[in-house]
Amino acid sequence: MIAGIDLGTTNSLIGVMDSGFPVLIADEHERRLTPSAVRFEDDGRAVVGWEALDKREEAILSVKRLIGARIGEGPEGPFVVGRQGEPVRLRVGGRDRTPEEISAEILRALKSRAEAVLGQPVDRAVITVPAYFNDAQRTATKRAGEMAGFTVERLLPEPTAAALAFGLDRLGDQTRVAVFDLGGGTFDISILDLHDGVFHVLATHGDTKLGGDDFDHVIAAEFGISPAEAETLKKELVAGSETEQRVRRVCLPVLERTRRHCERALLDAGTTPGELGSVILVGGATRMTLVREFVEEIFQQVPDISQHPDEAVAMGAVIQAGVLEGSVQNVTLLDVTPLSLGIETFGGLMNVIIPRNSTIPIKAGEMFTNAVTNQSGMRISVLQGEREMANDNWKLGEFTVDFQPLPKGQARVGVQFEIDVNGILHVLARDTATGEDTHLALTSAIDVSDEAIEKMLADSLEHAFEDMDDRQFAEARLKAEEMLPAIETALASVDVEPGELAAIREAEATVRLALEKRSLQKLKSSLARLDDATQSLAARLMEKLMQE
Amino acid sequence: MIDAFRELDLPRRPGHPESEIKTAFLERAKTLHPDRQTGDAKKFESLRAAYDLLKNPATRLRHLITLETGQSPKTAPPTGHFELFSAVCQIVEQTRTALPEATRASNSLARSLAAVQLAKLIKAASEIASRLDVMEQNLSSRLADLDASWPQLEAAATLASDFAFTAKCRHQLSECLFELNDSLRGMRQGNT
Repeated sequence: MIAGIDLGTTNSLIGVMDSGFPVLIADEHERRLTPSAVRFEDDGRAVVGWEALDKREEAILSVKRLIGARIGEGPEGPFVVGRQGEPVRLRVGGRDRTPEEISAEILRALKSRAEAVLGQPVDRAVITVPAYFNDAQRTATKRAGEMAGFTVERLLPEPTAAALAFGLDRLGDQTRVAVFDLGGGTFDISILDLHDGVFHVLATHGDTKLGGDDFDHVIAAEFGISPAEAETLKKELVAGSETEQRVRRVCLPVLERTRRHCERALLDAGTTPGELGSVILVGGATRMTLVREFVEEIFQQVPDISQHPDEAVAMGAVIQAGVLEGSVQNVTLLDVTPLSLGIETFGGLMNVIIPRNSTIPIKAGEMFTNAVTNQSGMRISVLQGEREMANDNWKLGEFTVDFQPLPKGQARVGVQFEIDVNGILHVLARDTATGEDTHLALTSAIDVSDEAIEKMLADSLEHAFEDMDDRQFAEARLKAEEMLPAIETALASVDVEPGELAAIREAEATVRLALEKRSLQKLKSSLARLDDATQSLAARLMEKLMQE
Repeated sequence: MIDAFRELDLPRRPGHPESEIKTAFLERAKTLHPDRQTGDAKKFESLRAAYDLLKNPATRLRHLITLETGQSPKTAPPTGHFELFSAVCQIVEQTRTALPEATRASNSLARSLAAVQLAKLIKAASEIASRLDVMEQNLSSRLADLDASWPQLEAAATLASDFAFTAKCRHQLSECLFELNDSLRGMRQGNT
């Protein structure tokens, strides 16, 4: 028997197939949701779920945001220890633990609940992950499952899981859908074709650090309350009230961050909102009216709210478990890799080997040749991401290809990059003579020696305090140089009154004077004055643009 | 080398509608995907690679020529339409300068001016996009003609180049429009 598990940022669920239907398993209080909260007793015993929330300040919440992450990548929150660039660790109960160890506690609790209810061992699982999780985040999640005693049969992207739940009673349909999944801590948008039981993912995009938690934080800041209180406030909003208006105002910029991903997914899928049969909402944060209205605006249609926001992903995981154990027939899932995979080439550029949104599993070969005679080997950096420069992408790790001692250009090694059904990378080197494949281990980019880290830190500190004043003046001068010609262009396209013009000219003259005198203080104040004087001009230019 | 047409069980012709190729792929995926009881990882990989080759007219035509002649066709420059291609290059160049300028703009006046510049570029890019629409329609009818009078290997090679260049232009133009619209939207929200 294979269980389906939604390992969520805020809540987790487990279920199994029961006589052909996906069923979620409740605890002894009839609750299907388990808060993804873990705390440790003095004796080291882990307390998971509702009970962990009894002492909220001691509990680790939203650990999913930290899984597969390195220190310095984003906000980390309480308990986190470690140095810049190292894998995140949490100091709890007197010892350091990895995020996957904490996740494993949640999975272990779900496992024992399922075993108690079903009266048999449950040791195989399909676990959902955000579609936009990278290789490190996926690998860490898989490890968490293994620590909890599961054989992880599949890592399933959450929006794909939701699409399975949506499509299970529509297996004869041919339609194109979008899944907008805004959970507690992650956001995904996926576009799929449903074709006679085949779920064909066309494109996926997202942000693994954007979710309902972020709404709670901006609401908390706005009203001067705790995030937990913000969560309650959000649930009790009265439409049209002043509080609701304030909540909308602070949440909208957070929500706006999803727009680019939606547009990107549409472009990558080669489709338009008009071609979508349904836009399915899942994830707890999609309960907010604001979110529903926003999705309606982007996709130009009323979103489909037929799926349970908290349970659809878990239902999908159970369905996929059914597919793998053979109890669900006529469902085939064709998923994609969300991020382009490539290697670093000369000049620090990224050379894409498997483009994003390629159907997985997929294999791609690359031939490496020795650049000089008797070269013993070559270090290759493997990257994931969409940026042109190698350094701007996530570095998965490095591997070495070994060459035979041969003249330049004659030693050749074929390397195969394989992304498996779980979206995890494997690198194989093929000996062209024997045709034998060897699995190449990627040495993690985070295995940097202590000295190297110390040096990186020292270097960055040194540069930080270097000629502060000079740099500030240079920045201010750049701003002035940008602004002075801009004024002329603006004056040529919008009418100004004589009084306003005089004020602009006067402020402009003080800027020029400050530039001549090389006075940082004067330049700063005169630039601020010029900024003020041109505010109305800028507004009118923008207005004119809006009308065009 | 694989015969992508055989993998998808389609006759060797240039003009299959894309929906037909896709349906052929999805129907075979049902039995060959490794998740299915009848699945086979190796066969699925060939199927996936075959679909990758056939789903775009440019790679489909090139693959077809390679199968028929035993060697892959040379990449030739497109026939005519240089003016359109250079217009796309210009937009790409201008977008490359305009976007960082818009991000750097540190006061409202500079932002407004950058926004005006972005709006101008969007207008220019949209005009080129509608000209590309016409070109793509033209290519489709040439493909239909080629299919009707198949085999014509030389015409196929020319058409493959034209498709490849047009697709590249379309891709670059779409990327520009995406970034320009995204950037302009951000600036408008910032100013209101």
